[in-house]
Amino acid sequence: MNIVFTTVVYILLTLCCYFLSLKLFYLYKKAWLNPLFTGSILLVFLLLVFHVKEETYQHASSIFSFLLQLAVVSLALPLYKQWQFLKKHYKKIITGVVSGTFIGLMAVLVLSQIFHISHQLLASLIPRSVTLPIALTISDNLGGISSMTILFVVISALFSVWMGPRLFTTLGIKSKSAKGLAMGTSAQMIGANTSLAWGEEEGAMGSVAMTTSAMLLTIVVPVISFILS
Amino acid sequence: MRIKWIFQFFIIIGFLLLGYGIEIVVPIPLPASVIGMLLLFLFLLAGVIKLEWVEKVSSFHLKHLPLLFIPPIATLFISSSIFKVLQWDIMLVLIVSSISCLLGTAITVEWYENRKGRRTK
Repeated sequence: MNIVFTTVVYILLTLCCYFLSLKLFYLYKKAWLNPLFTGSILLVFLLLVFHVKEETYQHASSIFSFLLQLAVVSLALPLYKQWQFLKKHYKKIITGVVSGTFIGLMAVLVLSQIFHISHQLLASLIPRSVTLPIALTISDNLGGISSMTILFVVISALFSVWMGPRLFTTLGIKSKSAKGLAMGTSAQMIGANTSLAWGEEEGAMGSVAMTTSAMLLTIVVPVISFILS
Repeated sequence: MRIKWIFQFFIIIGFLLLGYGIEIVVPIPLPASVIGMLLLFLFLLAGVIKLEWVEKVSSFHLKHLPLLFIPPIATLFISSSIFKVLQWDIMLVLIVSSISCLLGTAITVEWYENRKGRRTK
């Protein structure tokens, strides 16, 4: 089959899956009908049914990864709109992001010791909470495996987005800043986007947490690699 | 109207390209997209770029962000390496560290707000 034709078909297929799940979400308004989940499940199902190869689809969908990079640039907007608010609360933001990142990092290090996880896997696990492009750089510096890191980042983010709102309700966490910062620190882009849907304040906190935790881990990594070696 | 959308879209692309340019020249360990975001933010603060120039495209873009996550997720689940990760010990590390990170942040922030005695509503 012609390569241009297949590319167009896969792009249209992806768009259809997304807009169909979005329609479903607006129709029934249930939280578990999140288009991110339903859209992905639908697309994976279709790709598996038609025996689409990983490389073929990855190549066809490269336009989406370009748009994702542009979306990172667009995150400057919620940051700018909430700048006065963020400036007032910078201590809170830094305290929250630093402690969350370190507690998450400690959990990875301690559990890896307990389960005797190999060095290479540990290096791929460390950047699991950071936005993908940065996570890949960090994992590379530590000697991790890129494809593993992508998987860990996506699984952590999906789990955080799925579990986060439940945990907040159970523990009675009501503060908008606490929710936004936690989602951004743990689930980066996906978390920032989730918190953006909750409101402007949560969204701004989410995107600022994503950026701060990424920069923090980029700085801390040389120290970790020193300890590991 | 359509011209306006294209113009806004090109401003965002411009900042991404600027990020790529800076990444090559200056050895910062940040990806081009994050550099572009920080630059756009600074330009907005400085007033060089007006909010209205980019607002329409950006909010449309961010509204449909989940669409952009679907392809990488789908690629992972149709790849064979997924089976290497679906082992209970690694999944446990991911789940426990995600929960620690979420709660670590949220509880610290709540504690901080309570200590300050002014809860944001």
